[in-house]
Amino acid sequence: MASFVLVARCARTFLPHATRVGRSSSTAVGRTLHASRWFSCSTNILTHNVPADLKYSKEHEWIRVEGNTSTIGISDYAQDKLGDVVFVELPNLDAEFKENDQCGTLESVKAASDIYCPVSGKVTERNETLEKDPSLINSSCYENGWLFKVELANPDEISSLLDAEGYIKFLEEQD
Amino acid sequence: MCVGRKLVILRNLGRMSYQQAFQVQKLTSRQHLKELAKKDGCKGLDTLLIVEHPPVYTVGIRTAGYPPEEEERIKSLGADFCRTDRGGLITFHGPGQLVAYPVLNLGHFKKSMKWYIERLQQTVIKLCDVEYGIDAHTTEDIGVWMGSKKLCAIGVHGTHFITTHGLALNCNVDLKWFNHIVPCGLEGKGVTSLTELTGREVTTTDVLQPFVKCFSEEFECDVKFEDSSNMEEVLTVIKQAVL
Repeated sequence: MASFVLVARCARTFLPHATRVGRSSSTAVGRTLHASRWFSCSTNILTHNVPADLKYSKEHEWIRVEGNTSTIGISDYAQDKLGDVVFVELPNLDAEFKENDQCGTLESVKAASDIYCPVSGKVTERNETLEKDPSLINSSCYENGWLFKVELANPDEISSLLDAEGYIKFLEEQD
Repeated sequence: MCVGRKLVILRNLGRMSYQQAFQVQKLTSRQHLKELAKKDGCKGLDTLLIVEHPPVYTVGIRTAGYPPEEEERIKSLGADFCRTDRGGLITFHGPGQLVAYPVLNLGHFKKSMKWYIERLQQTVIKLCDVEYGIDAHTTEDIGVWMGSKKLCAIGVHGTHFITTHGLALNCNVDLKWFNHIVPCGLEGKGVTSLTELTGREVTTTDVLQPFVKCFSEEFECDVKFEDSSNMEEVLTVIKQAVL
């Protein structure tokens, strides 16, 4: 995958990659998602991928919405700051959470870090492959390293999450 | 973003049970979280808790490897047993071991658990080098090592980048306690202490000041000692800290 490293401030000057990666996806529910594109944001010489078709929380979770179901994971920035993930405690099936509730834990470098549910809803699926291979969270945080899926209790909450541009701006403020 | 040098309060809790020290950590951490949630003008104080525990074995969030039978076996050795929310596997804490629990808002430092762990490791490595002329090091296994023997274990928890738990540095602890477990789940590795490595008695009291100096250098902060002999007063001060 060709990699763009941007030196200038990201929020207004980022460019899409010349090579598109990921898949084009669309949803039947009143919205068409654009083809997945990767934006790279350079903060302190590190490159973090921020796919344009996802929403993000300030706790560094991403969310992919498809109809009334959402898939949730942690961002490239988050996995980089955590280090190699060795263990994941995922929420139980059918567990219900309110927006920003603590819903699980990731362990990396002898540090157990809480993960938070960015939306209210019920857990409908867990990524069981992470039990055997938690490193997927580092190597494929937006695809095979997804954490769990939630049936949305309040779809309006999605609009208050950050889009890719907003998340990049948020990341710049972190560093 | 912080302007000027950060301040960390040092509280030496003396000899205290694991559970009670954990309550002090939780109280301190809760103040940080209330400040983050902008509740009632609460202020979290970056705090370095120093403590020595009576004999206790603790395990982290990966508890599947330590079922009730294993817990009973370990308790029969005469030590306490606690399941915790930190990273890392099983370890031992006891007299002669300097245990440090930094309860920090990493937002005042750097919001990265990887960075935080590296600072803790470097604090101890620097201490060993400067104070004892010991060339301790890191390996692919987190902690501070001398060859294949672990000198200092590390295991932490982070919630909204507020840290709890920390590190345990073997000063003159009886290393035989470690014989009954596979420390940190690492087969074939041993443990050591500053006493064993230097060939002379090194107590937690000897180590405290140089440890704090190295901590302040690694975290680029000033450390202010606060008298913590009256625990009731300590808990009141923590709960009442406001912006």
